[in-house]
Amino acid sequence: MLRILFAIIICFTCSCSLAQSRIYFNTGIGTYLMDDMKTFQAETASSLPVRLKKVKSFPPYVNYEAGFDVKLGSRFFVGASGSYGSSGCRSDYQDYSGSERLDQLWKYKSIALSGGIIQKFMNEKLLLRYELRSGVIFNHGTLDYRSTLGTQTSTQHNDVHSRNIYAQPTVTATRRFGPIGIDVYVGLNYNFSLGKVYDDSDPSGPYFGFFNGTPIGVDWTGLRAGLGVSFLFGK
Amino acid sequence: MRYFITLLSLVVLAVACTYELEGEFFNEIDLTKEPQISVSLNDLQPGATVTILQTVHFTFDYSIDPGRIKSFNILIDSAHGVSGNTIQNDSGITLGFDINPGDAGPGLHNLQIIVTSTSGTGSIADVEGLEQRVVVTSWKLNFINDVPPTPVVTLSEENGYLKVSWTPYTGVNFDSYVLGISRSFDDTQSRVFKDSLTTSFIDSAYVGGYIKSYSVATHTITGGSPTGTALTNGSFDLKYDIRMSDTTYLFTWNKAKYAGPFKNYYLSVGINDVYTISDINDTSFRYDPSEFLFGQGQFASVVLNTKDRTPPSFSPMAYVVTDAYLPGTKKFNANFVAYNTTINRVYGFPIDENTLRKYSADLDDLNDALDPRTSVPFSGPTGYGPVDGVGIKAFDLETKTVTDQLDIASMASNGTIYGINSITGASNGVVLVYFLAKDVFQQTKQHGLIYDMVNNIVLSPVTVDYPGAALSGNGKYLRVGSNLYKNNGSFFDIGWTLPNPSSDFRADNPEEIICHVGFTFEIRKSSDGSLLRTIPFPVGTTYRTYDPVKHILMFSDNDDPTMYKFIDIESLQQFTIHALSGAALINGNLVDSHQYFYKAIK
Repeated sequence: MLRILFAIIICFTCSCSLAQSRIYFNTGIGTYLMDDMKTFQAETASSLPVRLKKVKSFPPYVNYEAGFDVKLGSRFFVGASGSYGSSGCRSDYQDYSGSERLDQLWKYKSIALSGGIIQKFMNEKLLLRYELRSGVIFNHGTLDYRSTLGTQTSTQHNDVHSRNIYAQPTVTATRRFGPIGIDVYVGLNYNFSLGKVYDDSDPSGPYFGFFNGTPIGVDWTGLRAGLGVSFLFGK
Repeated sequence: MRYFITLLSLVVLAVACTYELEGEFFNEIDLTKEPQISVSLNDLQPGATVTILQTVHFTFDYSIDPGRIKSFNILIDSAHGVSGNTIQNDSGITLGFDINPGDAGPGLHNLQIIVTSTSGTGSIADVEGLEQRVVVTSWKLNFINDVPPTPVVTLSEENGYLKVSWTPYTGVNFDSYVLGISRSFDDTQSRVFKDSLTTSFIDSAYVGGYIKSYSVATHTITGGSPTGTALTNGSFDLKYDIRMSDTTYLFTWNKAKYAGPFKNYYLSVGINDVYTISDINDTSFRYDPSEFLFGQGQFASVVLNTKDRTPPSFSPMAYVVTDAYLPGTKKFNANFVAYNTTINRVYGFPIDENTLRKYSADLDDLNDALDPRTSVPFSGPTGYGPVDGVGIKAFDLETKTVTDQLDIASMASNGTIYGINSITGASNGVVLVYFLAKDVFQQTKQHGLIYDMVNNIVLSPVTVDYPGAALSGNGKYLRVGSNLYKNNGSFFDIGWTLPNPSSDFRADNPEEIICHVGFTFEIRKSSDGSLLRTIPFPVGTTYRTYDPVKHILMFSDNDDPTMYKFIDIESLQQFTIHALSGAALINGNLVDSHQYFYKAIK
């Protein structure tokens, strides 16, 4: 992952001397569909002796992205970006005699290539960018189960991973103040290919699935919206 | 500037916030609200007292989700477990069980029903089965199961009847008295008295004569009970005494014990003579037989008849066999007897001094020959019993005295007794009589003879024995063995077969005997033992003794004279005859207990 990121940065620094370029850092909120993981959580909870309550279920949470793009002519641009996000799910039950808890914590890191067009307003002080990003999502998660009965506690922990392919149409409005721009963006992240979830300790082993054997997938599909800052370079 | 931005972006990514899971759900379980249950034991409130006089069936209702029940324990005094069955119903569980009077001793005891179930709180510990709820409910049980004392049974007489009395039992668990009445050898009756104050019974059927057992069992509601018993002492014997001067019998018997049920004494002698004596104190009867059959005793019996003689077999009976050879007939004089000490019988035989001569042979040989255990002539069919306790006595008819064990040596020397012996089978013994004739003995080495009672002559040496153990029951076995052969053309029949040989016994006036017990004759040559002929004698056949020179027996399957079968022994020279089975039909005068097996008709 780091290698890819460094490769992108090197590409960016080289391109900066060739044409007008932009780098940006965005922070926003994402919503996550996570249908499989919610069902997986419910199925797992149903096998426990008591009825757990779902106290968290993949709520919207802060995500981050950074990227760059290079103008091609006066209206087109291409670029690359990376993003990071996380969310989780918890089902819990406690009483005087013990407790049962199921936790899922998922993080993703993605890299994508992007391209789009630029519409200029107010003598280029306001820019609208229409772009389409598409890339790979690297998912890392932890599945934790803890059961306490009296003074006896038992736990089970799994580190798991998977990969998705996604596309995200995004609209970004930039108000330029010289070489610095303030960005507002909104996008729709769509995971159209969900990879199987494997345990880190046994990547080639059995995948995680539902009771009926169907593999589960970590679906980050959802809205993306946020603010950011961008820096313009070149002519 | 570019490097700074690059570094900044990396730092932002590195320190970016990651979602952290938080929140919990705590289920507040109110333990002060225990599930409502209700228990019921036969609608008795906990702590109530139940009287256990007999087996009591309990139903215990416990309202709870049946699936929560883990166990039931029914305890008496916290120790004795009682098993039960559970039935699920809409509201919970119904437990059914029995408490028996024998489950505890008399008095108060504690009954506990302990129901163990899951707690029902819904907590993790509950659903994991680690949290239980134990409900203990108690009642009192009052056991009334006293064991009555063994009743003391006594017998007494009341108004001429036997009265059975017993000690009472008045405990609250009294159920009944069961009076068992049984004779010592067959029937048993019982009577039940449900009134605890009834303590006696009049037996209107017992007149005495046999042992009767009266047992009284005091039954309680709970079943088993002690039993007391009393026995009557009832022997009933018939004896006789022979008066030689007029050849009469004097029968005497025991007096009936109870006059109440007494009806009469029923005395029968032989086949046809029956006498009824109604006086309970008259316990003797002199019997004057119209005719004495040579060698044939008389069967006599006396029965104690009761007024309600039902069934007749309940009346006691005594019998004797008057099997003496009374010299009442004038055809011969018997001057020797054999006396069987086992069955206390006397057998008399006439001996013609002119025919029998004094035995003077070697005494050892004689003893060997007379011993059925060692001598060949006696080792016939299996089942011989040894000579056991049978003595030989000589009975002098003139002096009417019986001498003790006959000494062969003295017998041989005194010239008076020529040889008398008696043996018995293993069970009840019969008598074998030997008439030893010197000339015959020397010729044949056989120790016996066949004697023509009519003519008082010795026909042949013969061995006659009665292996009584050869047949089951009281069946006797007759074997007429040895060398029976024609002697100078004189007639003889097999072993004094005729119950009453008469002087007019001739071919034109045969004796006819009906066989009531089947048997078979074998006729074998004495020289080599080969079988010459087998003559069956099935039940119901008749035969006639005949007096031709050439024939010894005539048989017939019916009364048709043309069907008579003749055995021609003219050419046989020597042969033996065996009665292989059946009773001593043809020698009935020696097998007195079988008198009724044949009947002489003329």
